Amino acid sequence: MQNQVVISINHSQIVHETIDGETIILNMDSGSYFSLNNSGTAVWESISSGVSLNEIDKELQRIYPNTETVKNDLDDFIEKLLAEALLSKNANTEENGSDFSKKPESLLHNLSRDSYEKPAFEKYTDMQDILQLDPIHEVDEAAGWPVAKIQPEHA
Amino acid sequence: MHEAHAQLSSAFTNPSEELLLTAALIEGPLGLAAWDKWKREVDFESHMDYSSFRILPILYKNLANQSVSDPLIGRLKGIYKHSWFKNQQLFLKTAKVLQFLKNQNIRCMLLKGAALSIQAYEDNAIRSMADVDFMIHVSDFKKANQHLLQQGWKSPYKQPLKEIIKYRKSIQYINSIGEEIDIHWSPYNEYNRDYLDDIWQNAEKIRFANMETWAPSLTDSLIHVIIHGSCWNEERTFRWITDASVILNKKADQIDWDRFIEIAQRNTIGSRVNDAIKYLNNQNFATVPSEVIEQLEQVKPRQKERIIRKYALVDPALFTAKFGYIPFYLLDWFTLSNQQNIFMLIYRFPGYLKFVKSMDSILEVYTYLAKSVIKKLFCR
Repeated sequence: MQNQVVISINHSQIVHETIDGETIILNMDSGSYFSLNNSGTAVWESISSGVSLNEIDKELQRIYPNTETVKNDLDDFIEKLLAEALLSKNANTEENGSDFSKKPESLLHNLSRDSYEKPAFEKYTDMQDILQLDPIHEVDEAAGWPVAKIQPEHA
Repeated sequence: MHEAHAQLSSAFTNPSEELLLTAALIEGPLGLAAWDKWKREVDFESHMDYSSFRILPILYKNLANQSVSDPLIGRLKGIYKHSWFKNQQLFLKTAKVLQFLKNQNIRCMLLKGAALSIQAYEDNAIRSMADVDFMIHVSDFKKANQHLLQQGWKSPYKQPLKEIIKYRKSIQYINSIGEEIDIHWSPYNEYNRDYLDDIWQNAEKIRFANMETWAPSLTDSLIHVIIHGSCWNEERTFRWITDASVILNKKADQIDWDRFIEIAQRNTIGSRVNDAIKYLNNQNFATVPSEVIEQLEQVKPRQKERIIRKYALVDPALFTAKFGYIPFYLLDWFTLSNQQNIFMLIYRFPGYLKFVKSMDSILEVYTYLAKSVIKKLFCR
């Protein structure tokens, strides 16, 4: 049996959903809401499917051979997700079913080959504020809720 | 259009709501044409009533599935995410109560939106909801009430539990931080209480917010959304059309039509179910087997149902202004009671009135009735 640390979705503490290239996550303990950008979503979906971090890293380096920060950005992203308790570290056992044979190509195929985007997320902690944000009138028209419309400054 | 359909349509959808539902429920040229027309006719910025707003998450999903590109898509997606977030919070809050009751060996069954999100929509955002309703066995109600009171939940009813069970289908509790829960022992007024066991026997196990609980079969849920939708409400209730359409379009194989017709017949709701099913079929929101429509046509409404069908869709303000609140209470009592005989219903009406008006004696009820009649006579 392999005895290796596995990163996986912290299902006991979060609920998540991916909608058109954006993963949204609710941390049930803290009540915080998270929105992952497109490349963060691709990484998240890969982890969710049981792909190892090593495989994700290799695939990202293959897609972006000229970007030196790929590995650091990925590590940084994973550390932040762990710090927010959205991911958890477990010892890999047969019971938790991690599958190192899975390849990330299909999950990362939507990423733009031309321009690299650092995997990242937005965190919203003031739930009352974002819930009260009118999703028609008070939001950025392109991004929609929970991104608030920038109010024009008065002269 | 059949007269009953026209009545149903005018009660539940106006032309712009019809367009919105077509855009939200139908894929392809028909749905896309409705989307274009709805956008031109409805001012998205300045007027969006709450009932239409609640359709927007499923509208977004339908447009996104067809890769529609539109300046409104960003905000529609935001509304979808807003609905997901609110629903998740509701689910977590409800799951705590369900788990607590489960630990006391009280079996709970989710109703309406929460159950349909899992069983039919298979999506936690599309079906926006203001609360989560669930049902327990009527025999568990006393035990559940006791445990909930011990946990700090309070009920607004002072009447004995026996009367609450007799004259209501559900009860609301509120806790110290203002959270509310609605516990049912019957899914809706008209459900014949002798038939409740049948709902439990046909219930399905589902996973809800990381726990295992129960939901009605989709046959029972289809009946429930139709009857819940086909009565007057201050907020327009045409959302029943999306619930029913999604059940019929995605899970038609799970509908036991023989049982569906039998439920409609036994619970004296056949004519309203018939109106709704024909409406869904004629508006292309769902396809219902023709033999089902034929069989529903043959269900002859009894006198009580004819009265309910005639008045249930009407704004009570229209007749309370003319006749006072007595007919309003009478109609509510008609839907609530299992009794079919009109004379027996009227005979037992004072008992119901005593409950809803929180009166101390039947004499007080008769005094109230007499005063109401005299007042109306003098007003004329």
